Amino acid sequence: MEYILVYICTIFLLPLLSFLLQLIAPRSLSSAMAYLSTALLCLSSILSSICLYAFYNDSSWTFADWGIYSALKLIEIPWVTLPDFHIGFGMNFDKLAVVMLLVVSLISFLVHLYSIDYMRGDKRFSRYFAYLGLFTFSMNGIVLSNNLFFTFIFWELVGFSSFLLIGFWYEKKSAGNAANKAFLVNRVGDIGMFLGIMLLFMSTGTFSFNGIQYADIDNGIMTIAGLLIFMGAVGKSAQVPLHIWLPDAMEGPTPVSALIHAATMVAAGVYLSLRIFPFLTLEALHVIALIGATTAIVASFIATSQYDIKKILAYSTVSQLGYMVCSIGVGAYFAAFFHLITHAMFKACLFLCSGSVIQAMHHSQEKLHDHSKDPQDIRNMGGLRSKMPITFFAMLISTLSLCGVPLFSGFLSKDSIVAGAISYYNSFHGLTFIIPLFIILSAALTAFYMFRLIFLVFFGESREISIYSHIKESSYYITAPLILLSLLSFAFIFTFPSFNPLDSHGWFYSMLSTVTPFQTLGYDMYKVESGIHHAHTSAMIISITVAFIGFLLAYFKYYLKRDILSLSTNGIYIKSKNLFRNKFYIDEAYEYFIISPFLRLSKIASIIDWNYYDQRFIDSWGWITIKLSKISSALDYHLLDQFIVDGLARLANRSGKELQSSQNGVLQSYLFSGVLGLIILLIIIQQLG
Amino acid sequence: METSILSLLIFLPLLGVVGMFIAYTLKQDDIIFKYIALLATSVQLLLTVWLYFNFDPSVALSSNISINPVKFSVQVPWIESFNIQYFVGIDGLSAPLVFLTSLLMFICILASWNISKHVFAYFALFLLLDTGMMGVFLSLDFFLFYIFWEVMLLPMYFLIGIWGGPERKYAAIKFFLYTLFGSVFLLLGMISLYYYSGIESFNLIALISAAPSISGELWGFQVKYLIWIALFIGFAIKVPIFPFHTWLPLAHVEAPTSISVILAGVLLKMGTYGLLRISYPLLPGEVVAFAYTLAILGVINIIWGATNAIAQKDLKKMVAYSSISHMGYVLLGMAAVASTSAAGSQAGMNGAVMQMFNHGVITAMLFLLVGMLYDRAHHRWIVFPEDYEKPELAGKLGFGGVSNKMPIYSGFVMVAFFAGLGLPGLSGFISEAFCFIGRFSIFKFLTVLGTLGILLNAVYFLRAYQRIFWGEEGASTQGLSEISIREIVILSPLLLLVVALGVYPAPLIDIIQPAVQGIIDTVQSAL
Amino acid sequence: MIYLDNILSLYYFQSEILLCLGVLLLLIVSVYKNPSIKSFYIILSTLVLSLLSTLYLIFDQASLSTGYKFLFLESIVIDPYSNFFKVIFLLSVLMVVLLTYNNKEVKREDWSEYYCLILISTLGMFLMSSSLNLLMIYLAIEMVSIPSYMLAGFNHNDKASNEASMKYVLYGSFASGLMLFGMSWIYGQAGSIYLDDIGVYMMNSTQFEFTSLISFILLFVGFGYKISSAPFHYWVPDVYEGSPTPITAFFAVAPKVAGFALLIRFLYTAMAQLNFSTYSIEAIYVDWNLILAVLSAVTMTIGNILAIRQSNVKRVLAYSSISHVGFIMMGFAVVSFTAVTHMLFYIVMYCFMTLGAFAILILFTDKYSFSSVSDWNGIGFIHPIICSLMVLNLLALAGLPPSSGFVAKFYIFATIIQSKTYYWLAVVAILNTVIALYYYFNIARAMFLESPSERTPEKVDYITATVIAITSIQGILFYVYWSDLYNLIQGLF
Repeated sequence: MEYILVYICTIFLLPLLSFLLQLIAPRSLSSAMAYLSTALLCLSSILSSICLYAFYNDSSWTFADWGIYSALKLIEIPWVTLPDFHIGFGMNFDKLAVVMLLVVSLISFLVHLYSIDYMRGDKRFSRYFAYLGLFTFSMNGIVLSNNLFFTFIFWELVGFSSFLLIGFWYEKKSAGNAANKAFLVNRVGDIGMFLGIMLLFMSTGTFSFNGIQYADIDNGIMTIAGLLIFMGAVGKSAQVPLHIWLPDAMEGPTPVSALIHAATMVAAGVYLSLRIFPFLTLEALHVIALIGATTAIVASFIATSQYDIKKILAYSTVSQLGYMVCSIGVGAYFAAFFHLITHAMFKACLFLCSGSVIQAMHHSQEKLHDHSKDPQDIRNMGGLRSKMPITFFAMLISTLSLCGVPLFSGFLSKDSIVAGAISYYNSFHGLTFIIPLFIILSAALTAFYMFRLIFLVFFGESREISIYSHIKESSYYITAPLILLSLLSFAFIFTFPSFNPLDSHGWFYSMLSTVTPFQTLGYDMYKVESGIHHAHTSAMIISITVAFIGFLLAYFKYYLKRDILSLSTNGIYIKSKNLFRNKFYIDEAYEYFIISPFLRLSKIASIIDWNYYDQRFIDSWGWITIKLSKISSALDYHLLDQFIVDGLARLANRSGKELQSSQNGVLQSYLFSGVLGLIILLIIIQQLG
Repeated sequence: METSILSLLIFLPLLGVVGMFIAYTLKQDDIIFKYIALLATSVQLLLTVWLYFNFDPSVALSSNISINPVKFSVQVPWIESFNIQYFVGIDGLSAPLVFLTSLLMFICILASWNISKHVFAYFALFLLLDTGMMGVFLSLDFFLFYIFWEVMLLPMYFLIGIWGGPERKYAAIKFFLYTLFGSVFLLLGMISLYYYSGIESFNLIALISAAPSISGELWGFQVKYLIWIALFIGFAIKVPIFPFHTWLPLAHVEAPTSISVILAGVLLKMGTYGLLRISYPLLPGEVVAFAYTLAILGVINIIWGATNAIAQKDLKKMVAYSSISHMGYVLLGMAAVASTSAAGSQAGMNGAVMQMFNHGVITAMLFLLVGMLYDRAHHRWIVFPEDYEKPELAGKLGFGGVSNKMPIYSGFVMVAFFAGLGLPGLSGFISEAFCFIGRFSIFKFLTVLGTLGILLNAVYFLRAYQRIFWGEEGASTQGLSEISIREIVILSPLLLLVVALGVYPAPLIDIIQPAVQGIIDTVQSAL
Repeated sequence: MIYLDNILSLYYFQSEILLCLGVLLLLIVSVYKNPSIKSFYIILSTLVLSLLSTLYLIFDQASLSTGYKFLFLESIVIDPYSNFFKVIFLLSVLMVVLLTYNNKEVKREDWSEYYCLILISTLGMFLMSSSLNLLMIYLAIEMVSIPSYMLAGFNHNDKASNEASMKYVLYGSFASGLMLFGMSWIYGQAGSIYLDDIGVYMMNSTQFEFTSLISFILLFVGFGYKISSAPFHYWVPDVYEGSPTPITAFFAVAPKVAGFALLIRFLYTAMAQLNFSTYSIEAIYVDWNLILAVLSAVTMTIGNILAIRQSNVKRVLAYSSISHVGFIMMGFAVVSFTAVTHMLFYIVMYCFMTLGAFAILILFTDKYSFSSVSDWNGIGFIHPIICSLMVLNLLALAGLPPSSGFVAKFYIFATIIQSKTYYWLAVVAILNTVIALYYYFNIARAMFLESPSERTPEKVDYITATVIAITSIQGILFYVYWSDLYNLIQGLF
């Protein structure tokens, strides 16, 4: 297996190399450098597929004798060494990691390829590829790291590179805002994660997943720690209530949205949750399931009422992530990971398609020199089917996959999640019915809003004829990735060698199902597995039907333009539509209840600190002293000395002129002050002596 | 060489001053002074680098050791009648700070190359300051320490007062009085230690074994405790710890760039260094008793500093408040010394010392960058205040879109800012994380509060970055020109340190760890 | 202990005799026409000679073998203590004389008279530092005071000067009157005017606590007036401002030091019981250390507080001298030989730094006729070196490193803390240090921070420059190394 190690390290470091090269490369070489980086990423994806193959073949790499966290014995680079406190960077590659590596480097490679055309002519062309490289590197870091500390480090780094890429077109104020928003919201999650890591470290004395898994700790602490770490996932994977940053993140270039904000980074949260799954307690898992389900439903509601093509996809991403998180919560470990992979493929494809559409719109507007219309608004599109066939078919395929239509990968992963949810209800009953309810409902909504998108963009006749006339299919740089990804969204890719579209068994299952950890704090995985197995058929039926319902609704409303049950005039319908369009007013709520009050507070604080505390209080000491000196000089010098003493002297002099006995007068006057002194002394002595 | 190198480090700047004075009497022109200063500091820098790799890091001077001659340490009587010694030595606690000092001095001499007003006085005072700082970090005799400690006030007063901004006179005297107020308490504490410890000596290492035996009451308090308080006030004002912090924004904002760099980069560290070098080993019982208060103060520093920084419109003032917040992390880490978990206390204390060094580098970088912007635009408003002299600008953004004008510069700023907000891979993160881990092992709740600082720091740095470097080009952005080679040369060593230590902090930690361990052991002996 | 009769005494009295001769010569010279330069040389040589003779006495084997010589029927003692003070007096007077050489405030035609007065009061100070009985004490004090009255009013046609002198006279006479009264009280009780007899009496007169307290206080009025401690400091500001600057410098240093010399001797012989074998204090009679502690706190505070608002530099220095007296008096709070040592140490530093500050003030007053602080604006970059020396002196006065003033202050604090009592005094003192810094650095601010007002730079003559150098450089010298001085002072008793 040694060569695999070498490969993995290469895969890990190639993107970093590309980053550094792009940084130092002179501007003149930028296009050549872009090809170079693409080549590097191509290489790394090839290598990772080789690794995958090796892992698939090597039967000894099964859970039984190697253990899921076996690989951390392989490499450990010491980083910080204190007598009782060590941190080292260890690589932890198992089948999970290897599959993840392949996905990351493959999609990253495709996005590189795509970007060569998409970003052509941008003035920060090479910077863009540098950022992509940095991102891919840190993403690989998350995938490979064997301990929470380094996971956190790379976690922050992906956040940073996503910040850079969201704010890539920083001349736009909105881009800057989105970037900051993304970074800060993620920070909120990360703080929780960091606290969780510290709590775990303090109670187990180690950062490594392995060590923590086998340490036995009080359930309560485990629950808190688990949830705190999960907070990080909530941030990155845009779960409610921290989902607000992801839609804004669409300000970044579209390929970036495909790579970071659809396929990989946002899935990192799910990946982390899978890593910590063995030591998540049941309580924690309940919460996780709830959050996931809520996210799924909320996001898909919002998606139904958006018009910006990328926003729709963004919200669909959020809801799909909700699916994955929920499925972790319900214990469907394999399903979650499966959906993570399939979703990566078809969602990346969808985004790239949308990118291709947007670029086409944009170029035609360029030709018309008319920038009044928003190239991302689906109300300005329509009938593009004939103009851009490849894009259309790619998008259609990935949409079908997303909606969970048989023959497509999405179907397999999705219905095992539904199965998981149902079995969850079967084992707990009671209120837990909302979990499957949300999941199934959002499945219907997914079909609805996706076909709404398809119909509005590709069918019917265009609403903007002038623009429409100049639309044409994108270049091969763009279409090639689309084709490849849409192929990857077919079911048999994952079920190979079996071609049964309704059954997820195949190489992927046989490889990955073994990684499912069976000793966990939360569930008895055997029971969960069997429960899922039983719920399987019913889940399949349900998900197919709801998807079909959703499709029908969209078909009537947006293809046949039928007003079903005259909804459009219905008050509730309109109200709720507004509610969805305004994203449940969550952003406004944050703005109103947290951000602006805090900014006000900080202003007040600065006024208190400077104008009051410093200028008034601190300086008052100086002021008091000066006043004191004024007073005492008034008393001591002007009154006592100048006025009384000298005054008496003058008086005495005058009287002395008449009485011829000035001495007495003068003496009296001086006696006065002296005697005063004496009296003071005596008083003091009485006090102290 | 062995015995004289430390003294050389301390007095080399003074030699420089003498040389400059000779040049002055020979009526040389100004450039010569600059070259002499540069020569002195560069030689000093080389010596420090050599020292950094050649001193014996395994020895912990602040632990309860019988001091048989440590490498490089010099101990000769100075005032026999009062048992005052010239006693200097170096260990892992002081070495990084000594290195930092000489590096920053060198950089600041370069940074103030185009000073034209009273050049001789400027560089002479600057070198005098250098001597003071070196002395503080190297001296192991409390009296010597105090003398160097005070020596710095005078040059600082004039450097702020003569070359400072519009409010310079006020800022200078305020700084002077504020810090003097602290150091007179330090003096009292010092003399009390001398007499109460029973050994009538200022030798810090001898005192480590003698001081804990101090007994006696005064005004109903333990004398020990009063001494601790006196020393604490003295050091707290330098750090600055919360209620004593208000001299800092004023002084930093009014001082010329290189002075702010020295102020934030080195002077603040002397406060925490003093605590670690003197208060901690000498009064372990009080440290343990006081740890909780220290932690609270640390949290207040972090939150209060950051909250204020968010509201600042003046970029330099924002950075100044950010250093208040960042010094809070140091206190946080130092509070962890009382932690019962070995890992916790080690992480905390090492984190604190690392943070002292890292913050020194980062904040130096920040102030230099602010200075460069100021040199070009002649203002440094993030947002013009409502009462700005040009009413048409009031309330508008000060800059905007600088990234397009000065890409290299904005690159530097981005690194500095993100190092400041603790991005992994840059040096700020690791030390802050360690401070938190350490402190979390003992004061859970306070740490949770403290982590708010992570967010708040991000808030003001990001807002500032967006408003200055992103968006459309603002009015004052037009005239800006990319930074010169000299400025890049000034910045790049700092950048290098920030990145290198962020990626692989071991070289620093391995140096400081034994010394810190010594302190921890000494303090925990009182647990 | 050697008791010498009048004839033998004369040998050890040589330095005083030299001073007397100098006085006589000056009187003779004054009848010649244009006596100015002659009298300058006369006083110079007189001072130098008597300095030499004093040093000779110090190093003379005979006098070294047993430190104490009682002259003139035990009314005067020659001991290391008095010799030490004599040297201080001579040096400081020498400085003042040199400072006057190029100074226009004292007119040349008055020199003979002026120098004569100075010499007489110097003689008086000699006696103050060495007299052993109340009568001598009284005579000595008067011998210092009466010339001072005339010196204060030396500018005959300056109203302020005359008022100052008048005020000085009246205060002085009043104070000495009370002191005489006190002396008679003591004599009434102890039946002797010799200090050690009084001491012996005090030792077994615990029943008469109160009477001896009264007499002590009455005496202290006299001393307190000489050293200008509160509440007898009223005369200081006016007199200092009124009289010509060189004379102010003289007042600020020599008589005060003499007062301290006398006070210390009086307290430690008559008011306390020493044990020279163990170098310890057996007992003190009325608890004067407490009284003086309180007074020192009051004095330094009043001095500083009042100094803050002064705009006239002379007045600032006047008040600062009051506060310094307060600092020195801190030493009285603790009754021990170390305390005395530290006080003497402080006194030496005080003389130098005050003279240094005054020397520079004299220079500028003379060249640019400065009076208020604002006149100093920007002078720093016209006379950089002199002004940096001024900063050094100011630092010393404020008691900060790098300057000898810090060392002095350090020792005084050490005294207090060593005693482990009177912490409140220490706290008051450090707060005063902070306050003091403010007004001292007002001058520094004016010199360097304020924008210069255009004025043509004047040439600095060599004599003044030398004096400034000598008096200021010590600020750094004694900061770097003071061990020997300390040991010397320790060896005095």
